[in-house]
Amino acid sequence: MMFEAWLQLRGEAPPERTVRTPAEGPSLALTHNLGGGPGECVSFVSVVGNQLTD
Amino acid sequence: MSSHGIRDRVAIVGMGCTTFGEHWTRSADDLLIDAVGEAVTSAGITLDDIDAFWLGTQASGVSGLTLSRPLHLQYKPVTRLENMCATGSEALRNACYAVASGAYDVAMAVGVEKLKDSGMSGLSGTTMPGAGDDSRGEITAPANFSLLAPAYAAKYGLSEEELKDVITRIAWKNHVNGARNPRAQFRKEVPLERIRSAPIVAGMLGVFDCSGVSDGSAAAIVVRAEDAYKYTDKPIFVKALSFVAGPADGLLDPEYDFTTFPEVVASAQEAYRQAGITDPRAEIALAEVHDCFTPTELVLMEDLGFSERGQAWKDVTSGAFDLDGSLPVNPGTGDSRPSVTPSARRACA
Repeated sequence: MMFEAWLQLRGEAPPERTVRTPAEGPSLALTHNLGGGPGECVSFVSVVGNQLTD
Repeated sequence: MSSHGIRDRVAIVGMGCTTFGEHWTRSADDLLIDAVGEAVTSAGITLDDIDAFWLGTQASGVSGLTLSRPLHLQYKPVTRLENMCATGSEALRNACYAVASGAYDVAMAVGVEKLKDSGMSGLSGTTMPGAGDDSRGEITAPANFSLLAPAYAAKYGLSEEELKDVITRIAWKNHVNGARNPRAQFRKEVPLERIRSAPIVAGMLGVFDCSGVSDGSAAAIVVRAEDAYKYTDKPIFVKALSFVAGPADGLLDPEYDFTTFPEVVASAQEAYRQAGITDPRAEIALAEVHDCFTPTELVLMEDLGFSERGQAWKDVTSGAFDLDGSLPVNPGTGDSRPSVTPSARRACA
């Protein structure tokens, strides 16, 4: 989850797991969790990035 | 009335994370010490530099003492919280708000779960809130989430065989990713046919369509954005934090649509508003999403706006969400395999 976003956006994921998108374009990652199940749940979404917005 | 968000006001400057799995010889204390130790080291600070702590744990401890005791914290504010499988996320959200408010300079969010030796299968010590009138039927998590699959197939004209191929590919993709993550619970690629022919757990869900229950811990250090480069040359800035609780009346509604989570749609739209995102498929580089069961990930692709309604199955099949796809989903995949209910990966941020 967030730790994976941390690794990927900092370029610290192992080469065999590095996604190519941060280097090529957008530098935003999304994390999501839901608790509960269909019909009765809570949901969390975060967006993090490796640069401040201009 | 509106939420205002804290875009670019706080940053994560250190993180730690244990491996996830069956840690029979390690206690929750051990896992916390390891994750917190790695986090403070990565930020170049000590525990004394942290002003306040938020501990998320669903079933592995109560009160702030769960953290203060193993870390030998000396009279620091420590809050323990729980919000089902969003527990770790909730800890991070609260730590970020505390720093953004100006109340603290440095905060830590930490999560831990130690489930495997609890003496029971799945999550322990938790019950879903009910209305007190027995209106909530008893149903296992796999059975509950299995309802998504036939609903999706029926709504979008797929046969059950076709949908089985789609969810099989999600499980296959997540095992490919997990095999490349030394912290993942399951680190083997699994052939498509083996996934497809695995014993059924509930409905269309086979063993490999269900995530694992695991032990683990993760920690994050949060500071004000303007201070971030004092700690690291590669901070991660928080653009949006969105959380909603639904009315929990869906299972009482005979017309309830099992092809979407309205709570996810609402929280995603709010997060995109806070972050200024108008085209999530194009603007987001990677996503780590709740992958308790494979149909969940399928439906989430549409609820999060990564796929048009009724099209996520095509994007899954085409490889759009693969590690080398246009939008990698769950590249870390610390779990995404068998068993039931949430793993520590989610409870730990």
